[in-house]
Amino acid sequence: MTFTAAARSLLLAALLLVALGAGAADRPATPWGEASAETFAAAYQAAQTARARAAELANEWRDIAPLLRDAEALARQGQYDEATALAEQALFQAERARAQAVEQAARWRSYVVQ
Amino acid sequence: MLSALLLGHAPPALAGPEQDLQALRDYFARRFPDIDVAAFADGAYALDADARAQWQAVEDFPPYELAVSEGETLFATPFANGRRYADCFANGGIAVRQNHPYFDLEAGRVKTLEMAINACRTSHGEVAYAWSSAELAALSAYMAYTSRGQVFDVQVPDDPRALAAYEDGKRQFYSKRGQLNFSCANCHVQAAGLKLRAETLSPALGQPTHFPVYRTQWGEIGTLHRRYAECYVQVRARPHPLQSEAYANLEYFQTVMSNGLVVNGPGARP
Repeated sequence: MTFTAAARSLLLAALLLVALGAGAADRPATPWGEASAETFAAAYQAAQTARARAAELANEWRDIAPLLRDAEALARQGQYDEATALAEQALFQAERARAQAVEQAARWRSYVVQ
Repeated sequence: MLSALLLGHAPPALAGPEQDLQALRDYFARRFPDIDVAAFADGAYALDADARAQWQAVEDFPPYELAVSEGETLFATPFANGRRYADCFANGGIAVRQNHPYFDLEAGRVKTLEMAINACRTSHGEVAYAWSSAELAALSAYMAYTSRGQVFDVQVPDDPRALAAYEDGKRQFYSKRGQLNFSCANCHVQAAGLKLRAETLSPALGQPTHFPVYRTQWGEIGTLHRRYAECYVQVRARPHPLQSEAYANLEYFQTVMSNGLVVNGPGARP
């Protein structure tokens, strides 16, 4: 593979990263100032469920667990806006981690050097 | 479960380990036509003349020497029952690195050299070392050092479980992971020889030959699985436990891809 082709692959990887992030637009985040203990609990539970689904496919991302720990700590202090934001970020990452595993299961063989 | 997700996608015909190895060698021969295949045992230093010169200077007073010496002492020290590590390995544990990892047909899984060291300990009533321990890395370093010049010859026996382990390692190598969506192959096949910040990305061909490795940024010697975990974190994936089945299978695949190259561990890297 030439340098140009290698650079193209890296560019495609970066574009895919952007594409994976594009799905964030289809789930509205909790507006700032409107979070509560209940909205946090719902976001936290949804994130934990999504995290477990990513873990089923052995494809958790690095920051999901730390985000949830930080979210929990903020919620204990009553900072529900901040806590809910972090929980929603963890949910976003967990959903995309599972989607990545599903996509890669179908695609990885196409990357193998022939 | 992952294979069950290949819904409606007929995979290309499966290539075996020998075909994979030849394809990888051919790929790097095309990428780096002036570099002999044997030189790939030196990793990035085969591709970068300046780095190679610096590395050769470091090898005059190698930073892994202390670990090798400590490993030699540990290796020679009898267990409480009077037996020694030499009793657990072929050839007394000298010059055996090139046959690891191997597929243990009785256990039905891949066994790494570090696993074999700990199995030796526990079989003689000793407590196993933690997978990240300095003692385990030192023992591995000593055994690698005694194996320098031996040619890697890791077999994939005619057993569906062995082939499944190999294929699992291959899948991990080529699958993108983490928030940054990189696979091992992205850096060590497609981008091998290019720069990642100030460092030259090493080629996959020959990658395990110099492990365990003294990394300057660690300030100590560490195992291949420690490097795997670090890479996972760097692409923002959650790492697997050291010496897990996942990493053992990955090491199995990577070592088969380095068959025919010599052991040159332990190594020194940035």
